[in-house]
Parts: sequence; C-alpha cells; structure tokens
Amino acid sequence: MTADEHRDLTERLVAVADAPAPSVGFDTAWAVRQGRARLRRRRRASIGGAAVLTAAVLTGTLLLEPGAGDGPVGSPVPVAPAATPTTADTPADSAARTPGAAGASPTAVPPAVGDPLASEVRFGWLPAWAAGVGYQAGTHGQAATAGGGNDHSPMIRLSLFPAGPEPAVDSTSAFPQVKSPAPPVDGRTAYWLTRQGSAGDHILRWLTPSGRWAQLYWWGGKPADYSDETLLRIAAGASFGAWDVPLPLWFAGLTEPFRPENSSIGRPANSALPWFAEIEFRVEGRTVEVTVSPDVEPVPGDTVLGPASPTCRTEQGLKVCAAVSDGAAPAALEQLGGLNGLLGLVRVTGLDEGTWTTDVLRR
Amino acid sequence: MAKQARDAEFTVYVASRGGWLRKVAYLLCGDWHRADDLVQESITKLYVHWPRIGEVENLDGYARRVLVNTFLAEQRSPWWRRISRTGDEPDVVSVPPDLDSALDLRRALAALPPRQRATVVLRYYCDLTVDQAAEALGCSPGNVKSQSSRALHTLRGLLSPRPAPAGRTTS
Repeated sequence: MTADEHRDLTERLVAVADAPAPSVGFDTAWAVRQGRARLRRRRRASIGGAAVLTAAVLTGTLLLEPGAGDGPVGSPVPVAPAATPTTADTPADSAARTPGAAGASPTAVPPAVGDPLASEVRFGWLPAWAAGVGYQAGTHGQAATAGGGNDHSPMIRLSLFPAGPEPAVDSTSAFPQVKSPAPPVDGRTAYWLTRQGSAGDHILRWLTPSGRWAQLYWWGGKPADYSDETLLRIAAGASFGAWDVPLPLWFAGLTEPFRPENSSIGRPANSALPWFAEIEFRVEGRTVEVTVSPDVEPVPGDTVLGPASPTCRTEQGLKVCAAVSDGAAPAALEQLGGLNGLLGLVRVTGLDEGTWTTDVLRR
Repeated sequence: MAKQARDAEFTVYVASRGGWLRKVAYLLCGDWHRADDLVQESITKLYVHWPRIGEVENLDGYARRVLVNTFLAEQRSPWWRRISRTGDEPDVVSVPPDLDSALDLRRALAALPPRQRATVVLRYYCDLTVDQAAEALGCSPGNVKSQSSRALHTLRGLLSPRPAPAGRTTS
C-alpha cells in the first residue's frame, strides 16, 4: 500500500467515524451495576469452587486416613491460614505496574489497629478544577487522587515507588512506554512516559529527596485540559512522608479476625455525596464492607456507591452501612451478632471534618 | 482497590473515552445501535477488570482490545441480540445508492469478513503498527499482514476514487 493510499483510507475512516451520529446509547451506571453483579458472581463461584475442592480433599483424606469415619459428627474442620501478600513480582510485572501495587510496597497491607488509611503522599498545588482529593490504601498500594467537579474532568493519581533502583519502563510490549526528558522537579531528575495508542494518558516520574521515585498519572478529561506545565507544577507541590488520613468513624472492640484489606475516602464527581469512605475487611476468606457517607438522597444520574444490599443506620447526619459482598456471613461476623452487631461497634464522629479521627481500629 | 475509588476512576475514564470507543465500535460493526451495545458490553468487562487495569497504565490499549474481542466474539455468538436493553432489533447496514465517499466506505467495510474489518480499523483508523494490531487481535503479525492484504485488495475493488481536493494536482 502506498503512503497516499494509506492516507486516503485513514481520511475516509475518520470521515465515517466523525459523521453525525444518534445520541449515545450506552450507560455507564448500567455497566457499573452489571460489573458489580458479575464480580459478586465470580466471588461466590470462587468460594463455592474452593469449598467443593476443600470438601473433596477432606473427603479423600478422611477416606485414606486410618480410622476414617470414626470421628464424631461435627469434628472441628481445620481452617486454612489466611493468604499472605506475594512479594515475588517478576521484573516484567513490576515494569507494568503502578508504584505501590500489590506486593511492591511494604506499606501496602493496612495495620490491624489504628488507621487503615495511611498515605505516603500529599498534593500541594492543584488546578482549580481538581477540588476533590481522595486517598486509597490496601492491596493495590497507596495513592492520592484528585478529580474534577464532574465526570468530564481529568483525574490525577499521585504515588510513590518503593525504595530501590529506578523503576522499570515497559519497553517490551507491543505498546512500549517511551521515556523522554522532563524539566527537573525541585532540581531533581524527571522524565515523561508516553505510550502510543493511549493519547489521554500522561505520566511524569521524578526523584524525590528521599531517593524514592514518585509518579503522577493523569487520565481522562479533554485534550485541552492537559498541559505539561500543569503536571510539573503539581509535582513540584507534592510532599512525601507518612500520614494517617482521618475518617469519620471508629470501631470499639473489633475482634481479631477482622483485618482491613482496602480503605479509601473519595470525593466523587458523579454523585450527590460530597464524600464517601469505606473499609473492606477480609474475614475468613470473605469481604465485609463498612461504608460511611453523609445521609443525603441520591439525585437522578448518580452512580450509587456502596454495597448492593447493605444493613444501614443513620446518626449525626451520617449513614453507616455494612454488607458481606461475596456470600454468606463468616462465623466471626455471626459471633458479633451479624451486620447489626458489627454496626453496633461503629462510632461516628459527625459531619464536621475537624472531628474525624485516625484512631479507627480499636481492639 | 476499594469499590468507590474504582467506580470514580472508571466513570471518569468512560466519560472521557466512551465517545472514542463508540466510534471504533461503529467502524467495526457499521451500525450505531450495535456500536452502543458493543461499547456497553465492553465497558462492563472493563469495570470487572478495572483493578488490574489501574496497574497497567494502558487504559486505551486495554479498552480497545476488549472492544475488538467483544466484536469478534459477537460474530461467533450474537450476544447483542440477547442483551439488547431496548428489545429492538438493531438496524442492518443500509447503503443509499449515492457516491458519497463515507457511505462508499461503509458499504466496502460491510463487505469485509469481521477479522479483516477489525484489522483495517486498527491499522488505518487507530494507526497501530502491525505488531500492535497483532497484540490487540491476539494473533501473529504475519496474520495481521495477510488479513490487511486481503482486506485492502477487496477495498480497492469496491471504493470509488475520491475527487482530488481543489487546488491539488495529481501527477
């Protein structure tokens, strides 16, 4: 094919794609609902499959065991130890991952007491549209995100790589990352990462005073929203350390099996809620969620946040909900009195963010 | 990743790139209603896999691959007839008998087998290299070359030459 033919075909394709079209017929909220339902089904299938496998192994073991079948009905069944996070990432995996991804950061697993939502990063200067700053911590690492006032604003994620050598660049895939020099950030080395075919993504990495590499990842929004100068200014204003993010609730006397796995607080652009916080506990292989948000009615078009069928209570203008997101209640939850018993351990501090606490998990 | 953080990031991404995905879907299937259903199914899959996507930092590439795979799977099993939220049968590609180059191309694309059409869209609309198109299609670069070659041969026979723009001379 000649260059002219190539250009002609591309121009024709662009003309067809850009032709007047009927109004958009896909629905993001519907995708979220369907996606959540599929995730729930997967978790249940996974748990069911594991139960069947465990039962098969136990049956086989008992049948092979001398004296099998002699034990009393209802003998205690050994419980498998909880899975520990992997730390054996391959270089290729690491190259493709964001900083702080599972297994990459020693701080990825939230503590069992205190604040499950810790952060190593903080934004300083932000553009006027990036009003809502949120934090997340857990199996996918720690990050701070800043989003805009609506769905069409960009999002920015700030994170920090673990101490060690310069992070790898994905240069082996069909869509390799391309590294190009950026102006220094606070006098330290910085570079851009771009990837062909991902026009809306912008990555800036730079060396921080501690010797660890930081990263800003920008996506979404319109092309006109983005400028290199904006991203460089955000980077120059970022700070790094160890902070506990205050939350509007705490737990009185939470039992040991409740280990926090993921926590976050966000300021969603697509909801009537000014903020929404959640803590996911991993309990005996199940996920138990506790969410808290201002008690406000959703408006049409809201993406409904939180579990599908929660048990809730309201207090001091806050709505606190709990749910098991992947099957039946674990025994440790039943021992607390179920979801209502768990909610009974929750104390809320109120809507005033000045009253929020970092002493969240009290045993 | 906690769910609400995932929802917020996912919603921003779809708001930003849904229009682009819809155009790619339209070029693949030639019908806006089917394109919407393709995008609907693709973004649902995207949501399910979002925590992992957040780690690979190639959202557009992943979304495009999901879309193309969903389109090709549709050819084997017309799932869109089952999930259609409107209950209406999607329009078939209708081609008025005029020589407008856009409609001309729609007709020509519709004549291509699905895999050749996907190859053309990836190579000449998404501007992917042979290797990148191969990754998106899950096949070898050689397969992309042969699909492209066959597709271009067919298109040459079907497409009317476009009039030269004013002031442009041909040699």
